[in-house]
Amino acid sequence: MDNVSDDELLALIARANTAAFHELYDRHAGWLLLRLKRRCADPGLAEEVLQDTFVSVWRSAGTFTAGSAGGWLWTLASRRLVDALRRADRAPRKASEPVETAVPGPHDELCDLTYGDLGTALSQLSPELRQVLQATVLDGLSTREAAVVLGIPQGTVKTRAARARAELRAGLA
Amino acid sequence: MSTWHIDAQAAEAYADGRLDDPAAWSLEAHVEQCSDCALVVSSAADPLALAQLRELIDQRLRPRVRGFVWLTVTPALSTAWLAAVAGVVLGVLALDLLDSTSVPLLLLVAPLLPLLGLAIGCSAAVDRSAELMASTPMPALQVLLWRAAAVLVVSVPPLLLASLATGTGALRWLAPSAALVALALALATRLRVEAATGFAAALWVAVTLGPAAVAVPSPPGLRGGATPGWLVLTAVSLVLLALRQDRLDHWHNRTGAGR
Repeated sequence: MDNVSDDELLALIARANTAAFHELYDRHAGWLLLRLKRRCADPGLAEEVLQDTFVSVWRSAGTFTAGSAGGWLWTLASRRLVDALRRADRAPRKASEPVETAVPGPHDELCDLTYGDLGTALSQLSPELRQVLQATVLDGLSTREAAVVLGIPQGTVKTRAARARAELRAGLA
Repeated sequence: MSTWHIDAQAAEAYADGRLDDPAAWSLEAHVEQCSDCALVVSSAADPLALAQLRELIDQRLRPRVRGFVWLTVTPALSTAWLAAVAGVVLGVLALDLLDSTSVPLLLLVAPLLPLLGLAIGCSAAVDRSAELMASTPMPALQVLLWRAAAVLVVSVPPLLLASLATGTGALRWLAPSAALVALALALATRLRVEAATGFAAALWVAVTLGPAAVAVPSPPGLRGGATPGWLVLTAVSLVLLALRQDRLDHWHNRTGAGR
């Protein structure tokens, strides 16, 4: 299984091959879990979402068409995250919580990857604005989904996205 | 793919939450595209937690629900449905015995009964086990066929008894019944089950009840000569179903994911 590409693994999973399923899990579950944990305050929820994601992978591997398997996996994971948060939303939940945990700590020496002016401009955004950029740009969520994930109203997502863009533009000028 | 790659150190920092957002975003965007770096980052995650989660996922996928279990959770087998079938059959039987001159009512109603059972039996809105079904690694076709079988097992015997009692030829309604159920199953590869069964029922109404209402002695769909036609429709629908069975998985997902 080691030399089999991700695309081929997914084709095998579509035909109910468990060995391929385990191989795909071993390759991708780690980063998916880390990324999910960065997206929700509750690590238990992230683990649940990871389970949901791979159950979906098993079920709908057949719908994967050629392209980036990693991108496809993240799309599934982010949809399951939105589902899980919608379900959790019916139970009382502190909306301010994820904002608080996202306050960045002091920058350390490991961050000296060169990402130039854009990186600096991004770093200067407030965590609230960065969260919105992360959800809408990097994670490819719709305004409505971003609102669910971040626990803020849709209108706030829109205004923050506009503000983030304006500040980035100013930072890069 | 590119010369930009993630080393173990950066992956560790990411896993510990020590990367700032822009650096983490670069890493995340890259991992989606580069399977080598995906491996590097994945190995920075807690292996114990991942192994436990894999076990949990396997457990969720393992209970391969056998066909007969689907029979027991099919809404068509609830007492309410059984009572409804009995009521309809008895009513139709009584009317036919009272008035034996016109087209037997049994012939008109019989093919609709299994269809209705199918609509109820497979509709996610009615089916409390839809959630369970959605997470079952069983081919959607298999689930659908088991449920259709459950519906037929319940609906056909009472109808058969009734047709014996009235002396109506069983094949005259069995053939259209089979054709309509097969047609509905074939249509389910494209439409929702409710819509597919509705369409099949509408077809039946068009060829029988419509003409019957305007007192044509023998509606075209009911003539003895129509039986081969119904059998052909059955065969064509079943072939269509077999050819398009992979499309059923969309139905599978749709009913399951609609939460």
